[in-house]
Amino acid sequence: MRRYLFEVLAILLVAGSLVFFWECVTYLAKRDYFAALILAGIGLAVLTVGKELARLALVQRE
Amino acid sequence: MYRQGVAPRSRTLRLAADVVTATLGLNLWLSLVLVPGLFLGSFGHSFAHGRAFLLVAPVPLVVLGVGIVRRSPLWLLLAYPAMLLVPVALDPRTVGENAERPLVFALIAASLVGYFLGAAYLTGGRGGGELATERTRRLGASLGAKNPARWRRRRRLYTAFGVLSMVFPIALIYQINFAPDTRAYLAELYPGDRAPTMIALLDLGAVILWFAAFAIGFVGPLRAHRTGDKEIVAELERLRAQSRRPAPSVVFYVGVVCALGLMALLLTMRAQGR
Repeated sequence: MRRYLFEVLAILLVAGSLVFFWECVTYLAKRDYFAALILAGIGLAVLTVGKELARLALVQRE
Repeated sequence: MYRQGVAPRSRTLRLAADVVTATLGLNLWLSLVLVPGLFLGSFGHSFAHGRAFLLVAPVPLVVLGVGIVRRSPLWLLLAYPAMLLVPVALDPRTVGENAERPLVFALIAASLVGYFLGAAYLTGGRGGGELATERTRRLGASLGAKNPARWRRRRRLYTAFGVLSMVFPIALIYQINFAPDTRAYLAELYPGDRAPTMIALLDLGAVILWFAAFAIGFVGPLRAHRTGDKEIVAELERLRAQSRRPAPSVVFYVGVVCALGLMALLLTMRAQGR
């Protein structure tokens, strides 16, 4: 059960990080560089958390 | 420096290896820094400039000395050649003038290649660079001198990599310094004294480009072959153990805190109308 929870959360977080990166590009187009930098940081952080949850899901599977 | 139990013959061999490495390195320093500096008057070009060159010129020798004492390939094969570029950067004429004379350039190139080959061989296991604290076996002896096909292929690749490591930088330097088209183009773009400085800058760019190409295209494939390396095996074991740990690592918590903190920062900025 925990394995599926981790897998769903990992997928959500990785997909969520892509949304943040997309927003980052949008802000870059608006020449709002500082906000774009913050959004890129958020995207990277969310991606890291998602990667860690994916690892935990794999450990649960084993 | 030497541990007890090392045979006197081995010590003599190592001392000889040190002397050869020092001689090759000194030869390179003489060819690249001292002789051009003396001939071009780099030590007395102007008061401040001459003093700076005088201060910087012996520094590579200190690095060479440390490398020999530590018997470190990193110091001898990376730090020492890199330090040789400092006096050259201070007075680019030392390279520019040499680059215009193919014979001198070929001599310096041969000194550099000789130093690299010598230092790499002498700091390696067969040159007596490592202390004989562990039992080692030669490849041929360990395989009963059968010399299987996979090792013959591997040796051919190593030889090809070695030859290409000499050909690539020489081709780059030739194209910048000797190719008639490049020289004519640079002379047209940078008339007067600016051309040698530009050539020196391009040489530096070629060195950086070569380092990147070497790290990606040469060291990368070789690293993948180091399957019997103790450090890599230990590192793989550590990574394997880390990936099997059932609890989240520090990276997870740092990621959560960073994401929340940055979101809060963005919301605060928007609330303040920035």
